[in-house]
Amino acid sequence: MAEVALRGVSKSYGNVDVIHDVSLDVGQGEFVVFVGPSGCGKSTLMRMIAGLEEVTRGDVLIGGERVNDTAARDRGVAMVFQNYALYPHMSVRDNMAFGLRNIGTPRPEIDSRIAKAAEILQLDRYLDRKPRAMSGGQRQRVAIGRAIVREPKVFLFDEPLSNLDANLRVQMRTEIARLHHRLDATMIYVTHDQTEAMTMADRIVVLRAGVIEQVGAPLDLYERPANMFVAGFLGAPKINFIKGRVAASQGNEILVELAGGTRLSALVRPGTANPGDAVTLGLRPEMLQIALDGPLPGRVEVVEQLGAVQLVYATLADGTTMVAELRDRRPPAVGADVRFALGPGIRHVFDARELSITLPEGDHQ
Amino acid sequence: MTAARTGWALWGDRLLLAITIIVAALWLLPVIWVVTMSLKPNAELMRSTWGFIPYPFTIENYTNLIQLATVPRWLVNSLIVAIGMTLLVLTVSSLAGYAFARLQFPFKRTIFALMIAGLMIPEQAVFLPLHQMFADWGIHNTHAALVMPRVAVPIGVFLMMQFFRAVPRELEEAAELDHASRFTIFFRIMLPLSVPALTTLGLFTFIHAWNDFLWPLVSATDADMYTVTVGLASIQGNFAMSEGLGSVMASAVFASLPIVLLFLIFQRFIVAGVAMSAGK
Ligand SMILES: Nc1ncnc2c1ncn2[C@@H]1O[C@H](COP(=O)(O)OP(=O)(O)O)[C@@H](O)[C@H]1O
Ligand SMILES: [Mg+2]
Repeated sequence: MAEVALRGVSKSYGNVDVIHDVSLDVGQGEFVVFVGPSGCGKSTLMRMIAGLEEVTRGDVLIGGERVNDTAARDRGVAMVFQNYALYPHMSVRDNMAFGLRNIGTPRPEIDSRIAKAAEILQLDRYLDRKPRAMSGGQRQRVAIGRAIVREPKVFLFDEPLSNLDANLRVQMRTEIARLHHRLDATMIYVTHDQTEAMTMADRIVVLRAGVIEQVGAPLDLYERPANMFVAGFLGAPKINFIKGRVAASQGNEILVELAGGTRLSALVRPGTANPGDAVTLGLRPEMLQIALDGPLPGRVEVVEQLGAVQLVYATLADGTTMVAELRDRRPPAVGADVRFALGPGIRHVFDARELSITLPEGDHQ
Repeated sequence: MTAARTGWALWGDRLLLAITIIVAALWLLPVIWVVTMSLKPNAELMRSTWGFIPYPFTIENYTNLIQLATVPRWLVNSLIVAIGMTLLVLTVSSLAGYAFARLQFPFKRTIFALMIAGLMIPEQAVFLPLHQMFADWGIHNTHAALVMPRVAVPIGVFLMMQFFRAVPRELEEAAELDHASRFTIFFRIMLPLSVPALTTLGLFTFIHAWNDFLWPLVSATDADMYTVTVGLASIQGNFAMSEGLGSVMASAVFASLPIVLLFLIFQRFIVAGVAMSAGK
């Protein structure tokens, strides 16, 4: 049974529609990440689940029960806010105890739950500190601790790591993932960071302008994006989009002619592309190589040496910028004219409406 | 910080300091003058009031004042009125300020507009009806009559509303998810957070109440119900005639002592309050 379910949920502020007809099931114990660019409605959606925002249309269900009219405090969810939202005048201990005291939890029970959470989050030594005397990472742990002690049915995280520096972010990322395994709780996590989504999620929900673009396991979305938006949002460095035109098609196979005359073949679902159609090729940076006889000529603009890999940014004949992720310790020099070849990997094809017409991977060959 | 400042910047700093000192001195001089005169014999003051050194020196003016039997009584009245008014103003302002900042209720905008309009009505304009009303109720010459007209202070409500508005909404949302009711949120989260604002508002109310003159003068006609300001004013007329300037000055100093004391203790909050009302 779905722990959290959205049924045709919409949200409007006045006559501005922010969320359009969203339906989604989140299973018990699942870790679901809402991802999308800033302003796409991730927080609004989460806040409607929490009960902090009213639902304009549709139903929100928690544990199978419709909770549209249930107050936030009675929904059994805990939320971790981006800016932590710790009670500044209370010690760490009191911050965690506040919610339990409000429902009259017996003192020994409160103490033992705090002790347990503090141990999990390594906060034992800070229990009597005020939030202002703690670092960002510690505050975030307190905020998580405050959620844990409540033993909620559902955890909600709204961009919990975006105020932390890069190192801490990576560290907290693994800590939250570990927490999820340890507590086996249902978690919904909002982020605009595709790396967080890819690394943490059981399932990713990609949102754009209040609409779900695609839902699926991270690798599914990476390999089978439904459209250019999803393909472009997941993966770093970003997928390369190259405009072209269908020059010929035969069965599943098409030949795409790019500016400059280069022709590349790709596999599409039957009947989705006819000669003359405008299409966009999507090529992940890691499938590109440099080869003398490669079909795609380009000029190297920037080279980023990352040690294990090198990112080579080049301009193609039609001015498109392309990035290739190479594993060659000696990448080409800036300004060099090179030719790119396509290694193994999926050649994504998108039609004029930006929808994927790529033949699903299982059907290749 | 100073090490980096050289040349013109340094001279600019010095000039600023000099101007500040001069302005401060200009403000301070009359105060010193008053204190000096209060410590001189009245006979001496008959000849000349000039000079900033209390010589010949005497505390006679103060002892005379304190020996007046009604003075302690007036002090107590002032304290009751000022403390009572302060507590009530804080209660009303914080509750109403929170309601305006965070609650939705019918006619909110109308009520708010009415309250703001209250800012523009000069106190004196309502003196007559107020006086008449209190006379009808027969409550003149009580502490309540001195406190009540000053309990609903629009500027206090406004100040607290602004403060509550600046508290991140997530804090209340977090509390709500922590099963806190409206009252718990108000008393356990918002009030403790607003202690600095409450302190500032409280101080200003107290000072205002202590210095209040016109209404107590009109309402408290019984000498036993005088506040310090009204009481001292009532004897100053006699003093100036019979005892002299020194006594008048001593009563002025005496009446302002509690305020000076407050300033010294709560300096930090008063500065913060001025900055706050300046819209900082
Ligand atoms: N209270 C509000 N009134 C009007 N518009 C709002 C309100 N809150 C959010 N929005 C709008 O709703 C959209 C989604 O906001 P939000 O859910 O915060 O996005 P995200 O969390 O994905 O960045 C934004 O365009 C934002 O401007
Ligand atoms: Mg957001």
